[in-house]
Amino acid sequence: MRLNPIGIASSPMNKLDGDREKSGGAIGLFSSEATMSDDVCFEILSRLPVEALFRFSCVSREWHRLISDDYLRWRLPLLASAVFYRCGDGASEKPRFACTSRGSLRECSLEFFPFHRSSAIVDCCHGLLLSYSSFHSMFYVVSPITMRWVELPRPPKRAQLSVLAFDPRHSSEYKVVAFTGWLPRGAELMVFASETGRWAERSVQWGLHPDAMTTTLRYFAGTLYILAHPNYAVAVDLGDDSACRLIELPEAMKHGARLDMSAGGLQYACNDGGRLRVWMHNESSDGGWVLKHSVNVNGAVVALHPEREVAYLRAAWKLVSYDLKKNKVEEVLEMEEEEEEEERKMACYVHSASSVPFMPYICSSPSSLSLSLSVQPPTMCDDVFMEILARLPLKPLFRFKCVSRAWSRLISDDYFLRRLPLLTSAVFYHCNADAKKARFACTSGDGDLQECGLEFFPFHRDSDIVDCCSGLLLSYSRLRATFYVVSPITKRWVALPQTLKSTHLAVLAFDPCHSSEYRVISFTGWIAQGSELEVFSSATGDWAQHSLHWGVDSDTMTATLRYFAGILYVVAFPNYIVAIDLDSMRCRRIELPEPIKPEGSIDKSGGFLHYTCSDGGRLKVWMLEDADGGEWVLKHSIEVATILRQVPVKTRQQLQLLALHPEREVVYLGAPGRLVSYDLEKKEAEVVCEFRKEKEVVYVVQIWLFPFSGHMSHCLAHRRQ
Amino acid sequence: MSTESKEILVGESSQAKPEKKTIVLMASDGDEFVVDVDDITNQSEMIRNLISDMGGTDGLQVPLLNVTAPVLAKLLELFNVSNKNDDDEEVTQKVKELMEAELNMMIDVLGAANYIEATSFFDLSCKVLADKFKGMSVEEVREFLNIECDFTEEELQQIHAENAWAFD
Repeated sequence: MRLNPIGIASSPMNKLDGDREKSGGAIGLFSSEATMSDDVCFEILSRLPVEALFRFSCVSREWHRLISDDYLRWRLPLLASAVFYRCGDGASEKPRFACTSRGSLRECSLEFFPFHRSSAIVDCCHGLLLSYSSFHSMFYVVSPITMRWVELPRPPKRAQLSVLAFDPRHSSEYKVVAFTGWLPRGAELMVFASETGRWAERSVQWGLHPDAMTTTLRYFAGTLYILAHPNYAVAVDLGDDSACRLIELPEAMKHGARLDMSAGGLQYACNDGGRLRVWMHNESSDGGWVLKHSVNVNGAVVALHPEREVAYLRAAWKLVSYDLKKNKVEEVLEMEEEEEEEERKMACYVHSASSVPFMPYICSSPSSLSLSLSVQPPTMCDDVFMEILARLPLKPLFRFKCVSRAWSRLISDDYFLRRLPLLTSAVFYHCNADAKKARFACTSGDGDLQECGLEFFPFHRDSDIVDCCSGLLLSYSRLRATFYVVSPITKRWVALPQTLKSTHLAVLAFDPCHSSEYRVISFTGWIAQGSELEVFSSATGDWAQHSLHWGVDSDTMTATLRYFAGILYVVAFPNYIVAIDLDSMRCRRIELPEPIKPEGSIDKSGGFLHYTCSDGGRLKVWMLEDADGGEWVLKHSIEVATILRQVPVKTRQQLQLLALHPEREVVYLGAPGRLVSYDLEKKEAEVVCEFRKEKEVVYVVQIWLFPFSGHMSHCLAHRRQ
Repeated sequence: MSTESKEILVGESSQAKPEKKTIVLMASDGDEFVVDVDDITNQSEMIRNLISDMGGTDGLQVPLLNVTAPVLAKLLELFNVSNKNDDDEEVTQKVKELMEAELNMMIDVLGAANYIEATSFFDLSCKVLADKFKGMSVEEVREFLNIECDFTEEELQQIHAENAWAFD
């Protein structure tokens, strides 16, 4: 037992003095005259609400030391937290959250968390909340008790079901487990660990069909327990090996069953038809279950007390605690506007509840939890402010980084940059100009697609644009036999080292969604079913020689190609796409659903590979369901004539298929002198822009739609000339 | 706190059709605003969802805890302008005037519009503010929003160098 003198001053405490002097040492007290033991102080302090207690840690060094003591924290009353819904006439609202505050369980405001409106609570575990914004596809971990929150890095995949795993009794680290796909007897998941700050992908095998799994999950001490039909609990070890263990339940699982960890053991509780039964799992006696309680009480069980024999039940629209020994019911959740809610026929459903000891971890979570954006305008919240900035063109936006630190932080934020409208870039020719040189246009200024001057690039006159990829240009000077990579948006350029062999065809590979590195692929010679090539990588800063074998005859390859996320896709006759992985230099042949048409384009839209083709009469959009050997699905099939009729400007000429929007169901088509978009769902055509100068006719060769990302501004930064 | 209730009718056709349904919006300080159901649901997604969740509008009172009475009055006034005009020109003009005259009020109105999910009005107002910022220099933005520059001279130079393209 620790005996420390403390300086606390208050008179009623003196009475407690006598008690303690018998068992413990006498210590420095509130005032100079009286003394009191640490034990008594603990007893008093542990009866304070958590908020008051932590406020008092400013009283003096002694108080601070005492309140920071682990021993005291273990003795504080447990905190309770609950997620609940309020429903009116069966329509559900967003989940809400309640937590012990000033001694009772009441609804917590999440106002301190700037995305509380644009995201929804998806899970709660021991006082921490997991919130997901489907708009931004981002997860947030929020601590309503300490009013802190953190944005997790962007998840690598889309989650189907996400769970927060945090057990303050066990560790101060938390994990977020997101199930991304189901296997015949297991699942694929990604796990975010606060320890590493990264997502890791894994798969688990639990030996049961995914249909058997329920969404009743609980996390304790490194293990995630999932209830499964007909009578199993699956224990998934979230350690490195993701081992699964099947625990047989004492009876066939009923609706509304719960698992909990109480008195150090796994407990299984269910209430069917007014009889609540609680079993305890006995690890030592060969995994048998012991029926501990069987009592008549109404209400669905939501949790068991971690230390005492108390069950928490949901009855009508209240949360009550039920003492299993004393058979006593007590109301737990206080609804503040009770009368009003009743009038509106609202009901509250407690979704999950848990009791936690208040641990030091919750308040001293990773330092990143204190992320906050304080933007100066007094009442403007970040959400609103971001909306305004997102409507600015790029130039003023990046200029405003200089306004203040808060602005600079906001504008550099990757999450903010992802919300900016997509940029469009296009390569086009002026057909009857004397020198038929390719030119370049990009979204700029007021958001219109305009021709970009390349005057900042000193070799713009004696080199030619040979390729464009997501806003970067590849330019080649015959005179100097040198490639240049040029960024018209950030007005930077770089000269690549000399190639070893002369080039037949050069391609630029850059995907700002994927990486800030780019590659230049120079094909130097063809062989029967492959080619010799040199690849420049901005990561290494040098060229490397490779040879490719693409599995189809070289003379069947077309010039229709696109690059996305490390893979270069090339269309080949009669009905193939060759996917070249630029990391491994391996090729994969993807069979197309029909022979290729004179016009085709490969795109990524909504994360899926699409093939759009047109034979002049009909335009078809195909989607590949699964990149590894999935089926092609015909998403749209439209008469080109119906699009032509929609085009506001009369044109008898052919529309040229250019690209598919990366997010929406929109195709971009080129007509002489103008760029037309066609919304495949609304069936509406629109002229995006007109390139017409005097009598010249313009042909658009290629267009790209891409997000402005941090990668865009960094890709040429380190090699500025 | 004012206890008298203010009645503001949004929309002009309420006298012609006496059976027109109304609901009550309550500002944070207790003031009540009677609004035409069609006019408000035309603007606010939140209230539209609320009405369909509640299954009707009979005696519906919507407390807007984050919105004070002057802000709500201004917002309803702007909705009124927007409902009367098919094109956005008039309401854009009104938003501009408000921004020039009372910036803080405009920002509060924006927050309220975001809160009740008046999507198209919110979008339009954000665009007005963005258009205002667009032509401003860094110093003008600081002055307009009363922001203190908390960078050191070196830091400013570094940002200039990193984003040179944005400054010409």
